[in-house]
Amino acid sequence: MPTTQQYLDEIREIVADSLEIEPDEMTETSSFVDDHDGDSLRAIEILARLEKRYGIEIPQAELPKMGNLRAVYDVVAERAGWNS
Amino acid sequence: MPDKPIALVTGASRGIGRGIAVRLAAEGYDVAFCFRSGKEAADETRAAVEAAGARCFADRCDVADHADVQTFVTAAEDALGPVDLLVNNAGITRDNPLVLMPPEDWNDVIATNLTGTFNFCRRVAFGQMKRRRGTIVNISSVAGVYGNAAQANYAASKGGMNVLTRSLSRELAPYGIRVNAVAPGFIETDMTDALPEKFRAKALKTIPLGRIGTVDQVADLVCFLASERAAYITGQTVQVDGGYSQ
Repeated sequence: MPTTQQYLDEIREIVADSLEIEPDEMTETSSFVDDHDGDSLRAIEILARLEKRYGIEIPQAELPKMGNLRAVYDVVAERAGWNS
Repeated sequence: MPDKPIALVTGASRGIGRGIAVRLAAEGYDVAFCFRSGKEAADETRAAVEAAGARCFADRCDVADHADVQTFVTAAEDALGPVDLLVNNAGITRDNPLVLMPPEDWNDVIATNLTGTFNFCRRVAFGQMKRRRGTIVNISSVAGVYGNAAQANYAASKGGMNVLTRSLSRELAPYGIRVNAVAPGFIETDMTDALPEKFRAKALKTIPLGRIGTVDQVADLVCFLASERAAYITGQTVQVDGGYSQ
């Protein structure tokens, strides 16, 4: 099973691609909206790509939480059962 | 053969909602619909939808209750699949002159007609945005465009739906989702059947075409706005009112 860091790097690639930035421009806590010019269009795109990549369904209520890489990882990890 | 598109119609146990649900079934949609009361009437709608060759999911739902809407849409999508077309039709009236209108009647009408529309849009659009396709048609009223005496609550709720329609059309356009409203005038339904003859005669005088509209004429417009023939139309409130607006 991949490590947390491997998952983080994989998610970073997906998010960076959606935000049209280089992966190393993003830290675990840099804000998609404030630091990387993200918007709701990108947020939905990121969510849809993560759902497809990991075969999960992310509830609508989780969307507001997904403001940076670490937060996205936490949401995906919970849905994918990586922590259990 | 590709899967049929899925339509969800709120408040379809009778009247305009039933007409729309049955017409959409005939046009090739599978249909989910909700109702708040009138189980027998809802069963008749279901039978008519199925007779038109469509799969049907129907259940009670209070559209004003956000949690109830979540539960209903999830169940509908589990049964039929993701919603391609949402028709927000559920609505109530509690007519009274302003100074006689109980505050609870104001609140109930806004909650069902306007907040109910918001609740369904919020839930259904989320999936449509992820899939980058979908259509929403809100059933408004000419009262929401011109206002109506003794219908301050109803007219305000429908006017709110019209501006909600315009706002969502702008917000959802980048996702390929179109949002329009249909504003019927005087339409032949159980609700208008109950009106006194004197009132009907007076209303007819305000309609240039000189006749009351039919549910089918409203359903025609909904089908058009939902179809690819309307692919370049979004954010509009289209009146089907016999020229009342002139």
